[in-house]
Amino acid sequence: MNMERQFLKEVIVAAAKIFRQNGYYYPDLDHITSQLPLDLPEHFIIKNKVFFAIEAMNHIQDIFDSKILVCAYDESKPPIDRIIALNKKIEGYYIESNGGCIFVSFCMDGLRQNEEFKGPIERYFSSLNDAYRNILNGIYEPAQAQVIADEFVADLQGALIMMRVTGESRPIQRLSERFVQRCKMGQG
Amino acid sequence: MLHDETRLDEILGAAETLFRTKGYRSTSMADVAEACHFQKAALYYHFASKEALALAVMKRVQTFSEKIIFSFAYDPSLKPLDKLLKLNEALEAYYLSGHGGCLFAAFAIEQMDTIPSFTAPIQQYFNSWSKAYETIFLDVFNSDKAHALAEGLVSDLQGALLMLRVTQDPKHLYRLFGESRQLLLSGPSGEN
Repeated sequence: MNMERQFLKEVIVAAAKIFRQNGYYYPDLDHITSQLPLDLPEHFIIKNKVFFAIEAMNHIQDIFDSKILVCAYDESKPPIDRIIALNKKIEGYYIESNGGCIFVSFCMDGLRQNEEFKGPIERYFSSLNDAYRNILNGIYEPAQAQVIADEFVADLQGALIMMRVTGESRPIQRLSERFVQRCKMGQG
Repeated sequence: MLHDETRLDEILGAAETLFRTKGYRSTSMADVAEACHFQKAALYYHFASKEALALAVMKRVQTFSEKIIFSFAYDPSLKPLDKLLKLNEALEAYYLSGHGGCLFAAFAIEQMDTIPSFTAPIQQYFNSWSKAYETIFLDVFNSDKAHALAEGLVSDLQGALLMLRVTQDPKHLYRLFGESRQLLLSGPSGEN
């Protein structure tokens, strides 16, 4: 990876962190570049904020795809174990990393003015949906698995909002317990 | 005096719609002034800052919700199921009116960490909402169960409102209204 690409990656990681903490509108490009661990090379061209917002979403999507949602596709484990593991990974990501969900945040304050955000936001929700559906296919008929996954992903967004409101992880833990119980009943 | 009160109400109504639709950061004082068809300076006569305006809007929505929505939970003339149905209908009317999503959720996501004065009104709103459901569920369930169910329902409803924003489809809202009705009907103490 050449220096320029490496630097761009660092800018995107910094942008993702700032957007998660502050939403889309508040941070400007200076704010983002001021958080960088390195000085900006003279020849480095900073593109517009929309570019960084989309790249930040792509960066977080990559983290979800490679480190979190992979739990759903580990066929060596039974469905309930995969659900528990996936829920724990999601909970851990939002508790341990500083900031809320960039996709939810951009839904609130960026989507309306930036049509370009729609694709990455929809991709994020689809990827969550696909992950849960893949697990639930081991318990339910495909159509039912799809419905339940869709419902859980919606309920999960509420739990993440309430985690932010209460400062506690109880909303997501309660949802997770309820979901596991439902799936166990589905297994019969 | 009456003129001032009317104007104040007009400002708060316009600001509420803008905050619910665009969020806090992307709504400017100029946007609110423009929506009310007067100069920005006139807006600053009533509110010293956007933060002060947002706090007043939250107070207005809290008062409205307590009087027009959550109050059904405490109406002694209604049966538990009717309390629930009327509360859910009032929520549906408020959130599907085309004026944007949940103001408090939007503020929680955007500003919970950066504007400390927002924390108390945001938490108060969700507590009131949860307490209203809890009061209804208490007619059927024991207090721990009613509390847990109410908190879970409010949390799920936030997810439904967010997904409504993403997909423009209210299906999750209707699902949760249906589930809450079923919950009450299938509760351990029988008739409602």
